[in-house]
Amino acid sequence: MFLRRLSHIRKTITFRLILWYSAFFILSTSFLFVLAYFLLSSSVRQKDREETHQKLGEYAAQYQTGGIEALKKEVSLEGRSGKEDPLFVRLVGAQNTTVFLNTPEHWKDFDLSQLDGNSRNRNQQPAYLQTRDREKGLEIESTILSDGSLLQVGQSTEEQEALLETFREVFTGFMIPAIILGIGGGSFLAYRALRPVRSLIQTIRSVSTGRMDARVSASQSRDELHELVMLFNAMLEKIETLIKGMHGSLDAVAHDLRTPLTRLRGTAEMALRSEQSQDASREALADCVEEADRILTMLNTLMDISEAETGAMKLHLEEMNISGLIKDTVELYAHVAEDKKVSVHTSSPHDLLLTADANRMRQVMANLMDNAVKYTPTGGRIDLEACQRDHQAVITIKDTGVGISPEDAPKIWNRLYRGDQSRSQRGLGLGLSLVKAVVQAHDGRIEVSSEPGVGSLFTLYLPSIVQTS
Amino acid sequence: MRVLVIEDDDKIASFIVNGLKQAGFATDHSANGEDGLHLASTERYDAAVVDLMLPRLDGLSLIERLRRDKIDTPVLILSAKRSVDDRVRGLQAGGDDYMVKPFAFSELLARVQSLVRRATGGVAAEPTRMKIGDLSVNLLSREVVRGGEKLDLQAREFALLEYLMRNAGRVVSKTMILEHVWDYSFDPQTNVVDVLVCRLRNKVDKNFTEKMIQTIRGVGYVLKTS
Repeated sequence: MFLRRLSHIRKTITFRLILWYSAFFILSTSFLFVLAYFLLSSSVRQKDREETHQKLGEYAAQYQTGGIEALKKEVSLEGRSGKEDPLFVRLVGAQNTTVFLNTPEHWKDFDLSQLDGNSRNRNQQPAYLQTRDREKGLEIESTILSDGSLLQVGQSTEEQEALLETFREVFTGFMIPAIILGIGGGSFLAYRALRPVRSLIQTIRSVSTGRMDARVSASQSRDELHELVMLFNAMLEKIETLIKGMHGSLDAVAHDLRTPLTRLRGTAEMALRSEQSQDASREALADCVEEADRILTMLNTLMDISEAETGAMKLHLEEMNISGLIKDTVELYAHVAEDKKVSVHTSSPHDLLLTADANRMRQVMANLMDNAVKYTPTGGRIDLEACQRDHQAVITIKDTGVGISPEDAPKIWNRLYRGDQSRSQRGLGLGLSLVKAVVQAHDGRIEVSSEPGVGSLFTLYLPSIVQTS
Repeated sequence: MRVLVIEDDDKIASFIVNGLKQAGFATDHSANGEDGLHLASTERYDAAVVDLMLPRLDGLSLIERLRRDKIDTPVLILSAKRSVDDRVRGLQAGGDDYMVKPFAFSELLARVQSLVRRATGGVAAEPTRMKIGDLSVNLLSREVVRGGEKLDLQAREFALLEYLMRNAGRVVSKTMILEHVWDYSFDPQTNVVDVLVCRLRNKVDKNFTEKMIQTIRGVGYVLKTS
């Protein structure tokens, strides 16, 4: 159980992030330390060598000018001053015999015989001696003087070693907190970085259990994960709208079809039950057909509305001319308006283009025109106008009809809402809902302003193409 | 004239078959795609009415197979899907016409007749004159005369009369009139057709005892002489 949990943890991104982060942190810290250590040790050694070299020069000069006595005097003078650590000084005569030797007390441990063997061959190279227990080192430089004797000057590496030892101790003392810091920082960063992912997982879990309103809590940062969260939320929003829309339209369709279906069934049943003449039966049958057609129209319109509202409506966009659209609409209603003695006037620039689904736009215009003609009394007037305003095509349909009362105005877009004026007229109460849904599916909007008894003005705003001539 | 009906729903099939028989067509019926394909491949038909959702072999594949085998019987597709894409898919597969369920039988009949006419090379030289009873129309001069009396028709009224006369004796639905007279391929849910028919009646029938333009309630209009 524990092992399985452990292997699960080992597979998580968090674990791997922590591991990588800590490893990287520790390695780079160690690397910096090692680099610093080498730089320090080599520069300390360099400094000591230079000092030895300088002393060697000085002693050689003393010897050249004052002979061995001067050298002895100089060495003992420096030894007594105690300012610096005493140096190892050795003068080897031409016959390979030690003429003068100055060795500090504690250097007795060195095996000087190592120096004798081939010192003359390697005279210019610094030699390195170690005590037998390898605790101390001695670095020796030598030079051959004009009389053929060999002068050797050496210095203990004790000081260097002590300095580097301190450095190593500091390093060890520093690495433990650095490792802790590395793992801690890694955990913190991994935890923080993956927070959006964790809440994403949590949200997906609750969405798949049916909670459609669950959303991922957004972080303050503006990074890629934030963008992912935002996109994911937008996607959820869209899905929720679609599902709600489908539920809503399903409910609406079920509800709205019940009434005409009841009428249909009732008509048929009454005809069956009564002993009617053939003519009466035919009437009943015709009623049934008409009712069935109405149900079909209603079903199609409701489907169109919900498709348009949820964005599922497929629009076959094409470039179309608005004046052509207005002309079609007016021609469709020419006779109806003429019979009602309603005059129709149009005004539209010839070159105003629109990218839209031509059939849907004709449907929109036909619905608006139908309303205008229906509610305008004899002798009235309808004006259809189009113009361009800031990259928008604006189409207005103005009538001198009965108008819409202020309390009805917000409700006219609702499905199956029919105002008092409308009840006496034929229609399904779906026209304006469809108009609005289709216009919005085209990224447009529609507004209405109306005064009861004076008339109504419907204004369509649609994104248009700027005509480049 | 032989028509093959491939439709799996009993009721729909029986009313199509009966209706076509009444209209004078010899009709065969099969209730699944495989039998339908077999019949269409072995027998000679003037037209076929094919439902898209069929058991064993769906309508689109059936039409594609027919066209691959170089059988060019005109096909009228029946489908419950009404989107433009579905329509296009049907026609691309090799269908000649597309109708959405539910439909008016009069419309189905008109479409089958027009398919047969087209297939039998029957677009006889366009007549310039049509005459039914005492009503005659000159398509060139657009002159309409009834019982020796000249009638003055407006453009749309003339278009409607011409359409009714071409389909004399057959019922045409409101949808068909909208499509032919205004070129509206959808029903804008208006009374414009009723209004136009009413106006035409006022000119063609008002002063005569015999009413030639008749309303068939729930179905459409028909122009005929008794």
